[in-house]
Parts: sequence; structure tokens; C-alpha cells
Amino acid sequence: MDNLYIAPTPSTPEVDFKFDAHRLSLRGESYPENAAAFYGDIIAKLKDYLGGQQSEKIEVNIALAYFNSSSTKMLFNLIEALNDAVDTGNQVQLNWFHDEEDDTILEFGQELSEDFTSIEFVSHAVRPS
Amino acid sequence: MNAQALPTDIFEAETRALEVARAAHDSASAAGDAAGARSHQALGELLSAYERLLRETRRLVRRSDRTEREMSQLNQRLQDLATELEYRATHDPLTAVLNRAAIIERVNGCFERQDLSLVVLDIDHFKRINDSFGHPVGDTVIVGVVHCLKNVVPESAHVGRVGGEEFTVLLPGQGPEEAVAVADAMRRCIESHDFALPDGSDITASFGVSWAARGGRFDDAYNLADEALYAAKRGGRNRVELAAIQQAMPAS
Repeated sequence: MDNLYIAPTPSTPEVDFKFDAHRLSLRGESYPENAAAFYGDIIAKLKDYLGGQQSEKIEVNIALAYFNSSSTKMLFNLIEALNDAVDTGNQVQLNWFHDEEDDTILEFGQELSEDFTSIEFVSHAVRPS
Repeated sequence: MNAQALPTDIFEAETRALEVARAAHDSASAAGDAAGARSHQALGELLSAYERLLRETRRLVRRSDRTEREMSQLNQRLQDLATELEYRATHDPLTAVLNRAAIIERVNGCFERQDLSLVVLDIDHFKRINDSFGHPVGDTVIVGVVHCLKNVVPESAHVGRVGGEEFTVLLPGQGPEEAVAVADAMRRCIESHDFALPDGSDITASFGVSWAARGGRFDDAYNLADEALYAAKRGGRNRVELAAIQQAMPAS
């Protein structure tokens, strides 16, 4: 299947899903007009890809500096799909990047790792540029 | 990709689960025994509560999204205003060069790292221009002088307006001879610039130059350059004078 690339905008993150390399990245800020539509399409393609994987090692990088409440809910859905892929025999490492001074994003990542225990979470503190 | 319409509800999966449970509840009549009736009733109550929870959470999220968007816009505005405020606090509104406070800060900051030369200049007979032609013409002369300065100073220089018709040019890392050459280039540029004065007269400026080693202070460097400037005024104006070097030049 084709890779998925969506360029960043001021209110939506860069989506860089290199399905052929099993490396999926989300970077930027997320407060789209319609989070359900924006992420719904992305999650549908992600599920298509995950459905065809077996015993694959998948690397996911999420570096979101800011996301609103709707995006938060859709992130749960996205990470749940990844969690389900582990339960069907794949390995998922999620690199969670947060600004070293941003406790909100750090703690959200920690909560995700408590909720989705099949995923291997790695937290990365990033120096503000 | 299946050709279904894009979801517009963040609780799409939850809504579908609710619909399935609702259908099951509606098709199952309360079973004959009391336990069955109780659980049927309990499921009905749970469905209503779950429906309400979804509805209220949707509203909460919508409200929260809107607040976050407004907050984000306000933050952006705040950043823009802070940037603008910082600019206005450090620049002269007429000429857009640094103001007095800002040039002092630059000079003292520069002294922490390196030697520097300071040029102080004053437009000759500026009072005559204001008195003869009015302040608007005086302003165009000041703007024209700044235009000349910016044209000839090196990339690393900082130009500041420290008084009505007085300017300071900071030349980081430049020795006294280089600074005198830069000052003379400024002097010649002003002398030959056409200011389009009503009486066709020319504008000139007098210059004082000082050099000071790293670790110096603005006040000392400025006072030395200012004394040299007054020597240039006494010497007939439209001249550059170099202040005596206070410390031995480091062996280069």
C-alpha cells in the first residue's frame, strides 16, 4: 500500500507514515476544525496497514507540542489501533517526545503507557529550540 | 480504503456500541422471571446514562476545543504584541535606528566580549535648519543623515540616535584607524548628500571617535568620543577627531 504523507499546517500536525519502512511519525500541533474527520481518515489507513502485518517491528514517533481535546480523543483511538496490532503478534515501539519543560505532554504520555500496556513506550525529553 | 463517509464524531465507536446494545435491549422483552426483568431494566437505565454521558462529553469537548482555540489565538496575539513592544522600546520611531537605551545596552554587552570603537556625531548648525525651515524639514534632514550612515557603516555596526541631532555608531572589534576611516566615509556621504533644503544649502556633521579595550564602559567611551566631537566642532566642523587612546593598544 502507499505511504501516507500530510504536510503540516498551523493547526494540524505533519503525518509521515512510511508503511514500507514500518516507521510512522506525527509532528507538530493539533487543533483541527474537525478532529474526527482529520484523524478518521488517518486511522482508517493505519488500520488497513496494520491488518496486513504479522510479526512486524513497528516504530511510531509522536512529537506533538500541543493538541486539543478532540485530538486527544482521536489519539486514544489511534493508539488503541496500535495496541491491537501488538495483540495480533506485532511489536510496537512508541517514542513519545515532549518538551523538557512541558509536564502536561509528559504526563499524557505516561497515562497512555498505563492504558496501553502492549505497546513499548519510550519517553524523550526535548530541549526547546 | 473503504468508501464510507468520513466520521464527524469523535465518539463514533462508542455510538455504534450503544446502538447495538439499544437494539438488543429493544428486541428483548423483559424475560419472565424477576431476575431477567431486573437486568433488562438495569440495562435500559445503563443505556440512558451512557447516552447522556456521551452527549455531555461531546459538549464538554466542543467547549474545551473552542476555549483552547481562543487561548491559542490570544497567545499568538500576545507574542506579536510582545515582539512589537520590544521593538518600540529599543528603536527611534522617526529613523528606526536604535534608541539611546538600546545603544547603551549594545555597547556594554559588546564590551563584555571585545574591544570596540565608538563614533559620536552631531549635525552641524541643526538649530538653524529647524528655525529657518521648521521641524518637518529638520526631521527629513535627520532621516537623510541616518540613510547616509546606514549606507557606509560595516555590516557589524550598530547605529543609534542618542539625542535630537546626535548619533552614536558602535563598531565592534574595530581599531581606532578603521573607525576614523568609517567616520570619514560617513562625513563625506553626508557632505555630498542632497537634502533638498529650500535654500539649497548643504548639511555637514562633526565626528568624535574613541577606542576602548574589552571590559570598558559606555560612559567612558562615550565621554571620550564626545570630547573629540567638541574638538571637531571647535576645529571648524565637518571634521573627524580621534580621542586619545587611554590604554596601550594590545600587541596584535
